[in-house]
Amino acid sequence: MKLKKFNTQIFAGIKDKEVSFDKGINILLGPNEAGKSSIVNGIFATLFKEPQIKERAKRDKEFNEKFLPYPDGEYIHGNLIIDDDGDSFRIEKKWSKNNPSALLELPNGNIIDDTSKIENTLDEILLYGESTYDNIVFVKQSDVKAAVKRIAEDSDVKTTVNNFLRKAVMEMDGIVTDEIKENINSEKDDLLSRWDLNNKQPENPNKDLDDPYKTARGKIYDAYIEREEIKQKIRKAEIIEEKIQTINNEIENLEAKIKETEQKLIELSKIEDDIYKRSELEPKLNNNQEKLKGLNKTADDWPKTKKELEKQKEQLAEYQKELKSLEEEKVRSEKSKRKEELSEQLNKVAELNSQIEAANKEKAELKKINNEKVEKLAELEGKKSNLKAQLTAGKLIANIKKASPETKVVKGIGTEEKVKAGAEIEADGYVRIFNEDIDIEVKSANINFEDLKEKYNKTTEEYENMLSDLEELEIEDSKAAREKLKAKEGLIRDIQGYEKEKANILEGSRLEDLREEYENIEVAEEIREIDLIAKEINQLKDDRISELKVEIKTNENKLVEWKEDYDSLEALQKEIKNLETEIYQLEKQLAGLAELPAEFDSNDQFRQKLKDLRKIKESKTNAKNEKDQELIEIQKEMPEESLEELEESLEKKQRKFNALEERARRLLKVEEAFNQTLNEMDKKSFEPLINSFSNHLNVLTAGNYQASDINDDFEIEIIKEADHQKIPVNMNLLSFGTYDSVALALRFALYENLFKDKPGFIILDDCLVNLDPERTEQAIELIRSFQDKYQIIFSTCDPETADRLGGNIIEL
Amino acid sequence: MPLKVLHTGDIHLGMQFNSYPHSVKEKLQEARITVLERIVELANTEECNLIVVAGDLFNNTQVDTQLIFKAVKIFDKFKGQAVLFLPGNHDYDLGQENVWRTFERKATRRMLILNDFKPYDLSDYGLEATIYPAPCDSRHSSSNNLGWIKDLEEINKNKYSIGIAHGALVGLSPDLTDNYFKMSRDELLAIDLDLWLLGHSHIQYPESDNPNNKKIFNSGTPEPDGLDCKHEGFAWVITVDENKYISAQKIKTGRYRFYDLDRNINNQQDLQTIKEELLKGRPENKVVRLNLTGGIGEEIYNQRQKIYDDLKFKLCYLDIEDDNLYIKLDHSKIEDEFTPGSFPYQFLTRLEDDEKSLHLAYELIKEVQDEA
Repeated sequence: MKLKKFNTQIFAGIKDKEVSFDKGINILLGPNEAGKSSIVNGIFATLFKEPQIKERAKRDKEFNEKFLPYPDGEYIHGNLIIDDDGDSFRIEKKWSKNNPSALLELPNGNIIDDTSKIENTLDEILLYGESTYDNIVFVKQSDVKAAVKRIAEDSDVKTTVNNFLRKAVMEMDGIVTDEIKENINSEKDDLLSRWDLNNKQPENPNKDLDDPYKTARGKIYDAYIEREEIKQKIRKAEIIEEKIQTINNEIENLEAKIKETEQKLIELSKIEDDIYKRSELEPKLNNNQEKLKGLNKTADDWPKTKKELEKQKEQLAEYQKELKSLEEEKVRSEKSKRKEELSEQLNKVAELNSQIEAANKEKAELKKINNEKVEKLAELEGKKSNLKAQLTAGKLIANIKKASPETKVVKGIGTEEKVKAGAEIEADGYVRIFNEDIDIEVKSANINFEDLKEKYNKTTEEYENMLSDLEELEIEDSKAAREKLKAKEGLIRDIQGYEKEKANILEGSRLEDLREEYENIEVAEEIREIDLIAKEINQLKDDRISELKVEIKTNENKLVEWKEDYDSLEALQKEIKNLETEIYQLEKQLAGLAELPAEFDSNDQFRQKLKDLRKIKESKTNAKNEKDQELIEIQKEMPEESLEELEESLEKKQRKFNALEERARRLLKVEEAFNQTLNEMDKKSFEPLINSFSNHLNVLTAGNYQASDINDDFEIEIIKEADHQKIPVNMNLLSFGTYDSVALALRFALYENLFKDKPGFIILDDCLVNLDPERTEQAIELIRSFQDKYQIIFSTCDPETADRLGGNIIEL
Repeated sequence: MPLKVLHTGDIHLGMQFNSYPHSVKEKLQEARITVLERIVELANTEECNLIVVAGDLFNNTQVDTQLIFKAVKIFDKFKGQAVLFLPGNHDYDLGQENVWRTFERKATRRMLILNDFKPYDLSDYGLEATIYPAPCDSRHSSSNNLGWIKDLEEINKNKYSIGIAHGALVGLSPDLTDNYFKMSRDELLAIDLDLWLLGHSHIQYPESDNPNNKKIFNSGTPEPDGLDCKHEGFAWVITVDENKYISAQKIKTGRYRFYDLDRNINNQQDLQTIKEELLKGRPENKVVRLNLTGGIGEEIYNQRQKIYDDLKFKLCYLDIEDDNLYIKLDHSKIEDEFTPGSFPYQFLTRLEDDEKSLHLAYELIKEVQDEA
């Protein structure tokens, strides 16, 4: 793209100015402030700056401050006509806050006024973006260093330059590596999308046949799914075949079972009626046989029973006779016992009578004694004792000192007794000592001894009299008398007792009657014990007779029953005859029927077996029908293709899959080779820039300086060649002039590489001012050498420089 | 009177050919029924007494009813005494509801399904022959069904005794799993029958076209059915004369022919030769899978598609596999085409040791070049 014409109604300090450009060198010549910069800025703004001025944007503010006419400008204006491969485009912009406008007039005269469309169209024409232009095409000489820094820092520009440089290398022979890369990627995508080639499985192994990817599927994945589908079909077919096989086996088994059951059924059914009949007849026969047995027994028993009964009755009569005799014997035994009892009674009475008589005799001896006498005696004894006590109350003691042998003594109421010398005599109230010589009475002064003695004697006499009266009873005192009285009373009681006993024995009977009765009882010589007899009687009665009676009753009942049942033995025998005939008939019938097979224990078992078999047949037939149906259903599920066909399909799918995988592997190998090549060449992509830079620098510095390297970050390495030595140089240390040479060489190198294929324009401000005449000459040569290919806009205030450069001089 | 038998089998009616395009699939399906027409016609021309289908008339135990009826209709055109159908391992029969029940509903009296392990006396059909069949009763079986014949106490009440069995004949075709009613020649010959008519392997036995005095025959399929079927499709016409001397004739019955070809191509001529080979005879009846390998010049390579298209147009079906066919690129060609040091030059040089990858890379470059 080249510039043709630029005009402006107003832009910074210039008004209604128009400049036209040639294809080669154009010199903007004018003194300072003549508007050279404004024209360059105007062109830049017309190409890149949006017409809408936003107050708040810092850039817009600066733009306004720089280019809006002071003090009362309302807008800024630029109108640029450019040439792109012979096509003319006009861009006109009015920058304003309130009333901005932009238009692009196309070669065909059509006008675009949509800002973004204008921008897009310009992008295509300009090839690169605003910053690339800003830093490489429009940059001021003094800003080159900063620009290089900016290039390194500005990723846009850097990428542009990088890409560009790479492109330059890579696209040799018209081959665009990015396109190859794109093709590889698209082919890879086409083959490998959703597929993990290394692990030979889908990217996500779960995204298998059951849940496949729906989108972005590569061919291998597709082929894999297709193959898996066939595999699944095969599996399904195999399963179904297996199921069918199973069902077929089941059906076969069922059929065999049904057949077996049917055969058995046929076999058993043939004799079923017979067995049924058997079931009817056999119980009947059994019954009859049982009945016959009973009747025969009765017929046998009947006369026997009769005879037995007779015997039993005879026996009973005998028993009763025996009983009678025993009872008679018992009576006799009782009489004998009575006689014994009577004898005993009589004896007892006799004995009692004799006892009574003895007692009465004894009692008679004690006739004189009675209670009154006993009491009198006791009274007298008391009185006597009292008197004696009074008499003895005056105690006297006499010592016989000397006494003749005939000396006697009377003590108290005592009698005379002899006393010897030396004796000490004790007496109560009275002592008389006497002998032939003397007679001494000593009396107690306290008592009236004589009176008392008299009373005592009188009492003693009465007492002695009473005792003598009772002399024959040999009673000595009241005590003995009392004993006698007691004995007398005992006798009376004894007599009473005997009498009572006697009365008891007699039990009111008179003794005479008893005696008579006794006399009248005659007793046999041998008489058994009554108990023994009674026992025998009981035995006979309770055991034998009663038992026999029961037996008799039983037999009688039997006979009555039989009579009732059969009327007579003859009738019974007739019935037996009939029954025997019936049995014969039944046996005959049964003999004509099929036998119950040995495997059965009973007809019921046979019938149950038939029932079971029919049930089995029915259930197995039902089961078979179900299985048949199941088979029909499952056969429907079978794939139309046979396993062999599916396997053939699988083989085809597998081949397809393998071929695709093989292609993918090749593709990956190709991609690897591609990337390796790309990497290697990438490293060399800066070579053209370095070469170009080095060449220009070499020209500008007359062989003193060379570029040795420019890396991805635009770090520039320069080597000074002196004395055949290559010394790296720090750019900042370079003299101003050399620096300008370096900057110019770099700009040209960059520009040249960027615009190699589609040459455009480059703005150079006075880049020669700092160069010495020799270098200026070389720089002019270099600039001029560019003019054939590129449009150069060179601004200077020096007419001589303008002259030396030549070309289209635009005086401002 | 001598007995003349048309012996066929493994027709696989109902085969789907799903891996082929629709139009090809239809043709191949149709071919399996039309071959029956030719068989019956052949049997009529040869005045055969019997047609024996030694198993796998049907591809499955369930087949489209219309197809079954069509088959019945065709067999009904047979002018001989009887057509015998042995259930094979594909259309095995247990008497259950399956393809044979449908078949039976339409079949005429002359059509006998040999699904019982019992002798079939063909006297009623005016033939002095008894058939001893070994039908399949399942898809697979590790043992054959000849047992009941071996166990027979008496064979040969009739003049001719013929065994018909379906299963793998040892040595004839691989039965890798031993799961296809395997039987051996010795085993068959030990049974005192006059003739054994077998089915299962899709190739004929014996190999000879006109075998004489042979007792065992395998029908092979009369209509090729896949890439693994290398022959044209035949049926046997077998004559057993009064002296039980057996003579047979192999007669071509198939229409379609399958070719599974691997060809190494190095030049234009090689490609041309294949083309000519394929277009010989009746190309419209050829189903071909062509696997091309080798390196050829770019020009020839670029013409290949035209040749494919041409072949595809003329053949019934062509499946081309040419992933391993590549443009032969040597270093001088790379040098001729690309500036040394340029990206394509370096890129291709890097792959020079792998011709196929080199070819792929070259194609990628060419695509970009062509776009430009």
